[in-house]
Amino acid sequence: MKVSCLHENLARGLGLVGRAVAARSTLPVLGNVLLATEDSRLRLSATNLELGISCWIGAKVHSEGSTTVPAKTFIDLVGTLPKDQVDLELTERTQTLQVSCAQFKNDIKCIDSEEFPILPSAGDGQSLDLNVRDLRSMIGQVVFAAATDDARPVLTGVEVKIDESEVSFAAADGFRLALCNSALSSTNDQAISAIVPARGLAELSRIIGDRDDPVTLTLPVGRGQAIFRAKDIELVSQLVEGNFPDYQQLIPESYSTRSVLGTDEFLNACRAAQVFAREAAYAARLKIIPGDESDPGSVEVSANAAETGSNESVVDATVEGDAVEIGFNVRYLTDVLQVIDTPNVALETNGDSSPGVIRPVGRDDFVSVIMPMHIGR
Amino acid sequence: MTANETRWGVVGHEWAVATLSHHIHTRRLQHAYLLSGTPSIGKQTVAVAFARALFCTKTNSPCPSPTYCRTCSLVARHKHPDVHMLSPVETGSFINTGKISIDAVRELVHRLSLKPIETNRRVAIISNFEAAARPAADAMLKTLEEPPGNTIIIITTDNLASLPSTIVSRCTQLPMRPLLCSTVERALCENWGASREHSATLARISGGRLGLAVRSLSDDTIHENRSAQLSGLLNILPASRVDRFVFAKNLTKDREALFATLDLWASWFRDVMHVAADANTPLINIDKQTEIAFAANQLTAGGAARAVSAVRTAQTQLKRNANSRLVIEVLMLEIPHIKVSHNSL
Repeated sequence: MKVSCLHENLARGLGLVGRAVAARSTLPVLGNVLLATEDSRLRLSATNLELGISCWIGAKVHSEGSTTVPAKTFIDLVGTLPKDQVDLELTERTQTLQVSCAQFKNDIKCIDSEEFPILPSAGDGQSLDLNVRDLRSMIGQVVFAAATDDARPVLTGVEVKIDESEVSFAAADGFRLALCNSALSSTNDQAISAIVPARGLAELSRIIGDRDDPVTLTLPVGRGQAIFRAKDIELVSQLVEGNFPDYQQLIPESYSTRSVLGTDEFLNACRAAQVFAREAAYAARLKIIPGDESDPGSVEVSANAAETGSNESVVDATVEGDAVEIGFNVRYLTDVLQVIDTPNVALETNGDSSPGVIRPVGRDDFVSVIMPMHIGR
Repeated sequence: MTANETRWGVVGHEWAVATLSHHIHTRRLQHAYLLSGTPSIGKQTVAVAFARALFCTKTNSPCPSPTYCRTCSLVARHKHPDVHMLSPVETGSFINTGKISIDAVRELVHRLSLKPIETNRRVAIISNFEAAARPAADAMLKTLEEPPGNTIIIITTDNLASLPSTIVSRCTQLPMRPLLCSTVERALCENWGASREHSATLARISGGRLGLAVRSLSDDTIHENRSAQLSGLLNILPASRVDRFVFAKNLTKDREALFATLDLWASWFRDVMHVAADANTPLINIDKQTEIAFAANQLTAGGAARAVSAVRTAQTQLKRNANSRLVIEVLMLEIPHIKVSHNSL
């Protein structure tokens, strides 16, 4: 293999794929970045067997080939090279990659690319174009609700469900659920359902960052992977094995009290409560007082911790229905209020021991369900 | 060579290989297998061969060595992305002082919860699971009972009794025995190119543990250690109590090696017992025939048997974390006082 490319491209590519390199793994090759020539471009790939990122950079290919370079060494080295043309030349027999740039000449010991796990290509399987902006906002709206511990592995993932005209993302951790939908730009003839690890989606949202070109989602037939592909970058995420719980039945169909609050005011009240609730298992008390003819009503958010002190803030609200006093984990409230971008938010409750539902007012593409906490009287 | 040897590249263990192979062919694979037996008899080899058989792209039986396909070669070198190897960190020779940490188990459980990467299933091979502390073993329970997808978990252990019953009851058990001496001898000759004579000695000394025999072929220190340990025993047999206690003090400095030493001593007394009883059984320590015969003249079979059980008791006490110095001093009082013809010093 002999390739020349620009330092700038190489550094950018390594910055992208570097995130998927396994820091410490039983397979040494996972600490490496795959370099391969493909259609007169250079492909850089890294995977930690859960998440794989590939990126293609423009290069002048003198002779075809592939190898895997130790990621840390290579990234550190490229960081120190001058902004000039970089020449990479592999000696197949010894698996030594010579990296030369201006007056610098370096030899790096590599591992044969045969050992690198085969990353699937987006060629086969059903695929679908997704709008990059929708995708990013949807990821942001659900990933926080995914479980972080492995007690129930399916809950560490986000369920991605695509039917004829709509795509929906759902995440839950046993105490809360976040669900959001978005219309598809093109029609889709085959329903898709997969559980993608939340970590993978968060990484996707980061790497597609400020791009505008659409992202293609492919689910290769017979392989447990989802491939997200943008122009010259590809992210492969291993899917989670198992069935996602049927969350539709968790969303209450009716409510006895509906309170509409200003999103920012509610969020601020929750943040203030969190300061105190931190010491008391994050329990915050919401006292919902319905209005009468002269007063629309209010929601009183309070928290108290024996050692820290107590807090109480009143948020003006339009309350319909019965008065109720309910406890929530205040972190769950702040998490979901942070991702709602409408000025007002509705909190629907059914008494103090039923889940609370939070919806943005004026949009019906997002809903979050939070289990209440038991609060002493 | 039988058909199984050529098909799976495993020496001996025909029964285990046939059972596993039958499970593959009849599609009656179990979700978890537990291979148990003495150290170094080839449990891991069988486990890896089984993984190759599951994954080999060509047929349902893995490629013959050494013409491996890519999959087989990756599995054999423990580098396949869908085969997860977990073994105690810092594995010793016989007694495993290494531990399987709870973090390693959790990491494995997490990996298994994802869909496989290149193939249609994941395989986890956990070696020496007895090295997992109780919390680490418990962390495995849920996955072991109901592994996600097509996952197959293969556990190997040297000591079945020390595994929690909750683990054992969740697995299909495949108890494995040491190989026949003749099998080891032939394998050493044919597959590892050892001389006929050397093979015969090693096969005896290793007691059917092919792994150990193969390691001794390339590693001289194993042989040297063994000689040192045996001559230690021969030296103290005629020695006074004071000398024996001094020896005990030195011996207990390395607790790890102590266990192997005791194993060897037990096998030596076992040989003495057999000779004293005029049993026509092959000796294990075939290179020490003269000493064994001399000792057997001074001891009854019963006396030798008592010495064997004294050594075994000491080992049990050591396993239970008794003070090693005290244990060995007690042992020194129990070991019979006899002359050895040959002074190996």
